[in-house]
Amino acid sequence: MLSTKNNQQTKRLSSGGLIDRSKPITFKFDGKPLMGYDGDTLASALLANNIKLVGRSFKYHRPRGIYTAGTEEPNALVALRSNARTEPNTRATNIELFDGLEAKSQNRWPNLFLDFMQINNLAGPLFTAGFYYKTFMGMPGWHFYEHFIRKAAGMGSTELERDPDAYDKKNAFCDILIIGGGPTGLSAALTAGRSGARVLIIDSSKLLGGQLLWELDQIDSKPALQWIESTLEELKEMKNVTIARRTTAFGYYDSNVVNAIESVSDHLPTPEPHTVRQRLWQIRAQKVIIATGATERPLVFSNNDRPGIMLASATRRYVNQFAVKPGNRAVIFANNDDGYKTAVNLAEKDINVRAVVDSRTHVNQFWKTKLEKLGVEIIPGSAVINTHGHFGLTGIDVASLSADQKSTSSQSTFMSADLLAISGGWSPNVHLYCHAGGRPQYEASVAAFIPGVRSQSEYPAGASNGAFSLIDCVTEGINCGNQLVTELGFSKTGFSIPQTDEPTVTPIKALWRIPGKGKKFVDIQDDVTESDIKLAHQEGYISVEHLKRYTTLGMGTDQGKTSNMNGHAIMAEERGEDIETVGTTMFRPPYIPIAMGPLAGRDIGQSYSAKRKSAIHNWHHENGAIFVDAGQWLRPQYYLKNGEANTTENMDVAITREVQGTRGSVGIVDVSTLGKIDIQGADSSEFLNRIYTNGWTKLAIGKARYGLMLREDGIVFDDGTTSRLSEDHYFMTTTTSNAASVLSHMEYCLQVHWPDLDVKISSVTEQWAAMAIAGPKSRDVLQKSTDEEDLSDEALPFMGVNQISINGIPALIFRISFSGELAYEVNVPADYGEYVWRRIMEKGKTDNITPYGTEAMAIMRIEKGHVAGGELDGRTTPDDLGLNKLISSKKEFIGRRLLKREGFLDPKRPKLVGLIPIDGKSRIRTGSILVKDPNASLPMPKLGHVSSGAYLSPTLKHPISLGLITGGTDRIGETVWATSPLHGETNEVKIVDPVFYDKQGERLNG
Amino acid sequence: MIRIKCPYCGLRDHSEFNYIGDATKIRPVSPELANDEEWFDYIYIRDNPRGVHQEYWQHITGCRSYVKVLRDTVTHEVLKTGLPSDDLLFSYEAEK
Amino acid sequence: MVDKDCNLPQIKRLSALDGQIESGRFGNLKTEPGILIKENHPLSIVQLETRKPPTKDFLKVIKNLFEFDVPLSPNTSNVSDKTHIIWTGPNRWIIVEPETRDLTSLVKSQVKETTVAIVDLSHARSSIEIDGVMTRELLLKGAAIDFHPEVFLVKHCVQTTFFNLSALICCLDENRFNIFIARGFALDLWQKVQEAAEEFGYETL
Ligand SMILES: [Zn+2]
Repeated sequence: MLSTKNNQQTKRLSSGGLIDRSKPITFKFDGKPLMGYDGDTLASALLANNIKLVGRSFKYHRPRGIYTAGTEEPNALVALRSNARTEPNTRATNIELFDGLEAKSQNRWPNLFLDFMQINNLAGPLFTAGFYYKTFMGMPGWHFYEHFIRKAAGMGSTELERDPDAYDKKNAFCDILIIGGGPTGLSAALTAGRSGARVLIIDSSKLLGGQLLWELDQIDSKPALQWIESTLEELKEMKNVTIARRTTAFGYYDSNVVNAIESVSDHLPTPEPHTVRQRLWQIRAQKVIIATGATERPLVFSNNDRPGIMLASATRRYVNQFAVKPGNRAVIFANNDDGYKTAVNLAEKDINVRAVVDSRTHVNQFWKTKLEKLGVEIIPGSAVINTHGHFGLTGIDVASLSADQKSTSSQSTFMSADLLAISGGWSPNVHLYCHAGGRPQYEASVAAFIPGVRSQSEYPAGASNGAFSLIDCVTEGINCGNQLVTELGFSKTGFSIPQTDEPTVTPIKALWRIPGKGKKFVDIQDDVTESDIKLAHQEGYISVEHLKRYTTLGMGTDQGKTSNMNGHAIMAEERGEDIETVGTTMFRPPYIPIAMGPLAGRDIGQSYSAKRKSAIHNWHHENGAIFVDAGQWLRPQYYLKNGEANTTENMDVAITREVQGTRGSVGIVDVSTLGKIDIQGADSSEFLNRIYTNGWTKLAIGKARYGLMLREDGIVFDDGTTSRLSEDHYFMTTTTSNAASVLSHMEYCLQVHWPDLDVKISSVTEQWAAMAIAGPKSRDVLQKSTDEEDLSDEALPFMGVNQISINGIPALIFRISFSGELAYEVNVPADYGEYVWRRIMEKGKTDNITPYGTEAMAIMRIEKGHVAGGELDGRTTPDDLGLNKLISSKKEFIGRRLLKREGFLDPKRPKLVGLIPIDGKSRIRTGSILVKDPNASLPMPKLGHVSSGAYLSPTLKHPISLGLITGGTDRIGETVWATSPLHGETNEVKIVDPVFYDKQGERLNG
Repeated sequence: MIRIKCPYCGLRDHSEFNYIGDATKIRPVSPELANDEEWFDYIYIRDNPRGVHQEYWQHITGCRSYVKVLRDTVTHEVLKTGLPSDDLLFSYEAEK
Repeated sequence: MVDKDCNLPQIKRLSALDGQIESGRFGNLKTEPGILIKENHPLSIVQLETRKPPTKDFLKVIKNLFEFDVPLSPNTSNVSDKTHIIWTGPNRWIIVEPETRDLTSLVKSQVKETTVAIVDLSHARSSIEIDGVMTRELLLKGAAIDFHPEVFLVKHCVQTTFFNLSALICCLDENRFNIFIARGFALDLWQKVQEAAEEFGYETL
């Protein structure tokens, strides 16, 4: 702990600022304990402690300091927090200081003051634009160099531990969304709020007010802070206005949807219990006012990156909002009036302002008088041409600028300074306007790109619209608010525009670069210099999009907030064209770097996908089931008994037990996951005729039929059993995996193709718990379970359907079989599912009833040669699968026409066969390719593939597989090779009939 | 994100819908009378227009209706929605 | 015959949440619970679908049975002490009651029109009821629907995506909502609602 005695805040002013000196905060930077105050950012607290060097630059590892005071910060990126909560590349200017905060500088090794990687600076020419492409690509040594270069030219590193915090998402709706709580946004909110419209105003900071928080402006002859306070007071009273703080809009998407991140707990050491770290907002607004302000631009001159060089507005923010002196001896360099405003401000805060260097020749009388009084020299028509110092600024060189700004006088004057405040004008924050689809236009009078035509319902206003004076911001906010409420049908409110005390402005004169030698940084985050842009131009990368990719201009985490305008303007000068012609790159979301956490929200780990459970799930869980994902369903794959460990061996034991138990006596499997569709209406039979390949009109009531569905292109889509419950009422089953797509397909047919049919369909999958009872003893067990129902062959023959009762519970019973055994499928209302299952288990005890899972089910169906997912793979036709008998020639059905196409009639098409390994024991991997000669030269002619397989058929005592092979069953008796090159497996297999077991189907009768 | 107005349920996020495909292709009304060319066109030929496109979306987590959507493939703007029987392009151009 | 007691099975229905729910106070304990969660079970749910806009006869039969009308506008429902009829699609509704009688058989016996499809969905849907001052805030976390009290009024209903699942959400009262979800997803949704309610503090009943 640091005692207040050790308070090193030597640069802290004794009064003023929006900080609470009664709430000291201790924090650590690079392990050193320091102190700041509540209300500080990490950047302001570091400056208060006279820490100017905070990082090393990206490519050249040059010492870098705090450059701005806001979101646009390109330099002061730190690794915040530690261990699993480490957040790299975090802008120190945006971090609210909290007790116990830990931050580390990045991109230096071993430490900030001794950085071995600084060699990159000396090896400067190596790192010019496009050097990767030119030097290394295609060279054999690339892999060797890559490691070194990526390490040297990198950003902070991430932790691999799992993020311990929770994240949340929420949706929001409003009439008018106002992005930005500065003078424009607040004026708009007040106007819109008074009309009664639903207003949501969001701001990225804890405090609303935007730039007014740190400027010395007066509104109606009172300090701006008072205006903010009274405005907020009124807004808080309005029930129709919502204020969201610490919430940053990062993307403007189609359909007027704006996404924002709320930093719920980022200002705390760790989130409070039960709260999240961040929340993603998806905001759907009718109208969006973009009041995101503007970003000050630096000026491009030699060595313009040293710690101590700072945007002019940032110096004002540090002295006014945070009561911190960013330096003792300041020089100001600007091409607009903000230089003078800054000089006055800094001088009033006890900083020795040596001079204002103005690239323009005309000086406003208002400022002349003011600066004279303060004893600050004005140096018009001049520029800073170089700077001195290493870890911090020590001085600058000033020279006069020629009228065309293309050369400077050979004589220069040295001035000692530890702070250089620079202003190259302002760029409206058009990012969200661009996301919405807008293309900004260059406006020479303000030397900036400003929003042009509207694409959606976005309304840029104030500084983000190029209106930089306070009075213009307030006026645009009010006017925009009034316009939108009128458009939305609310009535306008009388709202008078307040007075401000701003002097008249002498227009900015664009100054994109200052002549001189040495590195002139344009993009200070990516270490892109003016000479890189020249080089790109020389080498033909002259479009802004190429320039960006060739030099990496604007490709850092700051997306070129301070650099794009200068970079594009320099390219325009190089090309000798105007800026409008050269244009600007598009900004794309996100506006700020955002963590993955809030995008994922709670959909992580086990919650990544919803878990769907059958009504019998709890029984499975209690009885040793190992579950497998089947779509979203959890299905028992097999059951372990009496504490068997879940090993491959025990899995084989379990599967064998389940197959033999079923074939030997009786087994039961949960088939609730099969899709079930209720079909009613006078045209139901006709409808089934059209969607299935086989005929349905003649199906008797109380009977089921296997049906095959094709896609329009003739490929097999799905199969299942459909039963006729009454004249106009059918009950369809689908495969588990296609349940949703079959329902959608049927709805499509009814709504789009045949709206004239009287058919109503509805998914009843969840209404019924379904279980198949299979094996020679299945009838006996079922007989004991039901209420004296007649289950004889006469009453319930194969493919028969009955409605029966099980201890008073109504059940639908189907005599159908997937296993090839005598079998029944029992459907009961889901809430009775577990009861009925338990009852059947109880009644089946004497016959040793065995519950079985999807593995045993799959093995038994392969033993019977039934096709399933592996065969219905979206490439097979009915003929490929030996299902031609299901194709009716008497009627039209979906897919019929294309069944006859040439490709489908090709005799070489692979067709369904059975496969067994010659050695009787090798496991044949599903997906293996079937070839004639495994030693043939590549590419090897392919005969077919293995579509599904059982590593061991407990019934046949050897592995069996199904496959599709050219020639199909004509090749029975031949041997071929199954090869899986990926696994290095090649086995000789014999082609056999696809029905391995009980070819005559005698077991269906028990 | 696109927001789509279901003719029944109102304006909803596109995540409530499944994209189905081109709504300008109509299944041959008399399948047995249509020739190979017509079938080929119906099943395989799809335009990929830059601009206005008429397509089907199903309101899958809503009322399950198939919704015809007139959408600009350049701006993603949903210009008009309706039922499968509506000719949105015709009414859109008539209104223009 | 309308009030004839039909035979319901004597066996107790097991809800999808049976044995899975711990009742009590959870999450943020610093405030009064902002959310109350409970399951409504067992319910009778019958779906009716008519081929075309319903006939006068059909409407009359329903009115006789339940003493109020079938809601004809999308996203609406009609409700009495006992019965809730909800629009779920063009010419499609569900009738929901706490299970006291064999509702499906009752409706089948009264609605004679053969063009009406009657489907029993009593076991197909679970119903999770959420109450409390933070209910609308909680709903906004899961669904992209405007739940503002002046927009989403009592008896208003929507079918939408709720925490990535298909759900039917009905407003029963100022802050009281009923959420219908496919039975197989009921536990998953319950857990998601609990997680979302953590910060508000919640009570399960
Ligand atoms: Zn809908």
